[in-house]
Amino acid sequence: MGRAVLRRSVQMVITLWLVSILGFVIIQLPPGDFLTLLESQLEEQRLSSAQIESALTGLRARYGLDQPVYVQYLRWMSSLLRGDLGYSMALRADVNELLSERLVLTLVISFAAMVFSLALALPIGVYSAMKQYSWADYLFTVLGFLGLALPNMLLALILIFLAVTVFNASTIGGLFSPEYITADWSPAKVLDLAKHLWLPAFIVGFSSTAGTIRVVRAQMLDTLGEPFIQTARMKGLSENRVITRHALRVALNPVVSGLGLSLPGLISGETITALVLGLPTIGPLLLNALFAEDMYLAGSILVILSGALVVGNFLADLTLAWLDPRIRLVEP
Amino acid sequence: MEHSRVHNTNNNGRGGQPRLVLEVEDLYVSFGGYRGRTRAVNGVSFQIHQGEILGIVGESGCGKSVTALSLLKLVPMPPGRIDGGTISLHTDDTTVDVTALAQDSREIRAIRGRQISMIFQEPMRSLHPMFSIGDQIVEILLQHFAMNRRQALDKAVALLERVGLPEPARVVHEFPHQLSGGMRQRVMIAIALACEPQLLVADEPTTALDVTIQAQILELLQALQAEMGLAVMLITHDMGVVAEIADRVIVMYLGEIVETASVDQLFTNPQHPYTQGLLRSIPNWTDQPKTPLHSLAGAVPELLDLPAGCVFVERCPFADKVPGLRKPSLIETEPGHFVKCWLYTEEFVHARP
Ligand SMILES: Nc1ncnc2c1ncn2[C@@H]1O[C@H](COP(=O)(O)OP(=O)(O)O)[C@@H](O)[C@H]1O
Ligand code: SF4
Ligand SMILES: [Mg+2]
Repeated sequence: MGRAVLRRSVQMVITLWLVSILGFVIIQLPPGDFLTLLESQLEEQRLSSAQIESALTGLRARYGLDQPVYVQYLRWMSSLLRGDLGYSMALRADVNELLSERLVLTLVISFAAMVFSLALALPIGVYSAMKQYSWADYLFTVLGFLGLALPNMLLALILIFLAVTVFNASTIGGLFSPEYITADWSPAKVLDLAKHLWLPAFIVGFSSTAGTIRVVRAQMLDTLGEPFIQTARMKGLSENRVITRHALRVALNPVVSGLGLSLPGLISGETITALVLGLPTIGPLLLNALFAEDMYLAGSILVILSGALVVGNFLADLTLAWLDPRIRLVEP
Repeated sequence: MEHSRVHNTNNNGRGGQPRLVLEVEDLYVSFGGYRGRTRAVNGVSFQIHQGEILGIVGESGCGKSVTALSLLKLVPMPPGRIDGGTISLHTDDTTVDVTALAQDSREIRAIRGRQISMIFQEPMRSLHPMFSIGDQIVEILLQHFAMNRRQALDKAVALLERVGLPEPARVVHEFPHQLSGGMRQRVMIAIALACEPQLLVADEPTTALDVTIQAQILELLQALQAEMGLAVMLITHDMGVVAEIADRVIVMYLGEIVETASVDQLFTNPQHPYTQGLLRSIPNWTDQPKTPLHSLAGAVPELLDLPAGCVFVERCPFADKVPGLRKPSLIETEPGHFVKCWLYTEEFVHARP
């Protein structure tokens, strides 16, 4: 177990390093870099060329933009490691400040969406498998394929539309009631957040639910056909216990490893939902940063999201190993 | 085991008639499917007594496993369905008809693992991959007996020792993937016998194992059977296994019993053409050159379109000599020896080989 964890940790660090290089390359990619953009903006503001030049040199020096690329990368990396995500030139603010609260909210929404999705998919998937080919199974299968076929964006829009028209969701838009937006964190504010959270969590989670139902159903069917399930029944256990203790335990493994991979889907779903609902999360910020060629902001967000994906996978693997002796006890 | 029998003077040819454990009468089981119903078991009747090993032989697809699973009401329903018959389990004070119990009922669950246990063909897949060996034995003990975990775990270690596993105190904490196939089958036997059932159903318990391991497992079953006065229903497609350890044999073909006799009778005087074909396929059984099982002409036909008359008619070398279109019934040709074939009626005695 220990060695396997160590090996996976090393793999994770290497992956994170590659991700950082990729992030940096993306930062360097835009054809006109941000300074050119800024220069033209400053010119429009009719500043003297000397003023413009001094502003630009200051920025160049701060970020080493006049240095060779690898020096720029090393500077960026070392400040990243120190927790300094850089400076958003478009928004004229430290990226740290811009991101911190939004990151927390994004994680909260994604986590709530995941919980919501599992809470829906697990019982439905198990039920479908146990009543294979019943009308309920067919219904869920059709709904599932519909869910898989619809683009998430369309699904989000439909769900938002339904939420507003049918449920008359007055809390739609934003994550806080006006009086709490600038307030400090307090139990009341958390409660207010929860009240606003269900809709985005529902919308973001719903789009991954269909896929999860299919996985749970297929895994349950496979597992229920295994001889060890026959053994469990032979012991005189109740069907309830056979399902929950014997079958689910094995069928859930692939679902757990799927959770680590579901993160990108959650983030992209979250971006669309956040844009439409006007939520202060990371997604819309990333989109704007990309439009504005705001390299440090965009790069930092990409690195953070990819990092979250890698770490999520690592955690999913650890959970798997903890659950399954076949993985836990095999020394490489 | 023979010596432990109570001998009396009934006419079953082997003497003793100890307590009747299980009585199957006219059992019919079928499966629904897109192309129609598969009639897997058709009118099967037999009895199992305490302390006896009943061998059930036949090629694959003949309904052996379905018959066995029916005894525990473990046939998947749907698509499976019991179309008729009774399965009477006799315990000390009562008799229960298993076919009448609901699949998840308290009554049938009190029988599973406690009165009738079963072990399966694939020891590699019959144990739960994520629970320790100890937990899997403890589970059945706690299901049927009032004891605490500590006591159950101690009993598990004792059981592992009894089925011949080395270092049971260590094995009890191990997981199935750490054991060999033979060891896993021993663990399965420990689970199955943990609650001291009356009947052990062993469905091809050695088919997936090496020959040497096979012999060890059979020996173990035989020893435990004698020790516990257990009734064993041993399913196999291997006549050699039957010859080695069974007391009585049922030969099944396409969901029907075509011949049943004591082991001695069956091997000295095989009567049904199908039985004769199976015996010829055992290496060194007769002086004739070895012929593989496939020397039985043709393959087992589909159960969807059963022949109207004798089930064996399509592959029988004597089919042209007798009215294959009429169904033969089981005839007693010598005490305790029954065969379902026209050749053994007065009418067609001349056609016999
Ligand atoms: N779960 C099932 N669904 C449909 N048909 C089945 C099922 N189990 C067994 N059968 C059918 O019943 C017949 C007898 O099978 P089985 O008892 O397993 O044969 P054996 O054990 O003698 O090899 C086969 O034709 C098989 O196709
Ligand atoms: S009844 Fe006829 S067809 Fe059937 S086994 Fe006997 S001889 Fe062959
Ligand atoms: Mg079978």
